[in-house]
Amino acid sequence: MTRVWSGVFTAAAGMVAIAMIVVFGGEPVNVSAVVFLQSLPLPAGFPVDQFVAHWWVFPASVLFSLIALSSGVSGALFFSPFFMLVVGLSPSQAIGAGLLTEVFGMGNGLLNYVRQRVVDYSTAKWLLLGAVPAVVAGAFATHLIPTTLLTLGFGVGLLVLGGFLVYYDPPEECVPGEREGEYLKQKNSGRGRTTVETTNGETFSYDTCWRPPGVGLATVGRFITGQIRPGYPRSRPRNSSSGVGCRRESRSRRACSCSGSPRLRARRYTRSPPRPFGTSSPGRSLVC
Amino acid sequence: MLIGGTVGTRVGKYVPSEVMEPVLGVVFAIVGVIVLASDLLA
Repeated sequence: MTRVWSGVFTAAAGMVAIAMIVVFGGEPVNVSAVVFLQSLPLPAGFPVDQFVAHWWVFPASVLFSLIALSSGVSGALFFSPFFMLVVGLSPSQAIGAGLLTEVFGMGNGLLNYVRQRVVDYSTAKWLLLGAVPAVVAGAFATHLIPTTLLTLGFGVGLLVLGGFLVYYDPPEECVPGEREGEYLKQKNSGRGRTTVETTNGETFSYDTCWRPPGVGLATVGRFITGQIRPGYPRSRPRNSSSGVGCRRESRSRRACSCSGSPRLRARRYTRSPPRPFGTSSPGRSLVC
Repeated sequence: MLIGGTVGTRVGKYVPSEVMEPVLGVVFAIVGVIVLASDLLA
């Protein structure tokens, strides 16, 4: 029943968005919309012109956040390019706006997933054990890696990751452990089973995986995330170098017999001269 | 973000991986090309 209502709501939202684009998309209609809005008892100082000029950002944001939160991808991956290339914000404005929307989006997503009880806390706590110190260490070591090297690594990493997602079979079509060698089979066996019971009665049960590889990946990924120092818009000279890093968290039935979709996040960043950790001066920032 | 995120967290588990993964792969590849092009051509 939940599935049906979710599908109905999504379809209705899409139809409303399309209808709004068709009805209000043209310039003459925008003039009519301004007249119509001005006839309403809006609060004093309501920016009617700006609202009419940028109303389409709202349905686009709903669409982006729906895709991001349903797949576990960072919303800033969509928002920052959207703000820069479509809305026309400057890179610094786009980065700040993208990160701000991500804060609410990811926070809301986490809250909803926790409410649905689909979070594998037993695995998450081990990942956090390596990830939290690593992101702090990465922030301290932000000046050690050349930004150009990280930029190239980030771009190539995204291409490889994209090819990986397109090429390999989805988890539903794989037999858990079918690609494991003897070593991994031995490591992944005999560790019991992890069971997650959701609020709507569904139960996900899978073999508890060998966690050190996952912890290692989370540690490395968060170290790189710390390198990019999210949240600080950059001001880079045109001829300066730039850098990127990527963070990846994944759980794969194929790799460790765990369920769940890949959680993929990637960010591009640039770097200005290194600054002490915790200062308010701009350091590396996300461009996503 | 709140509307889309709330709907997304509910429909996400019903989206088949065979659809989601190729789409994400294409998106990542496009972003990767943009990153490399913007850095190499700058």
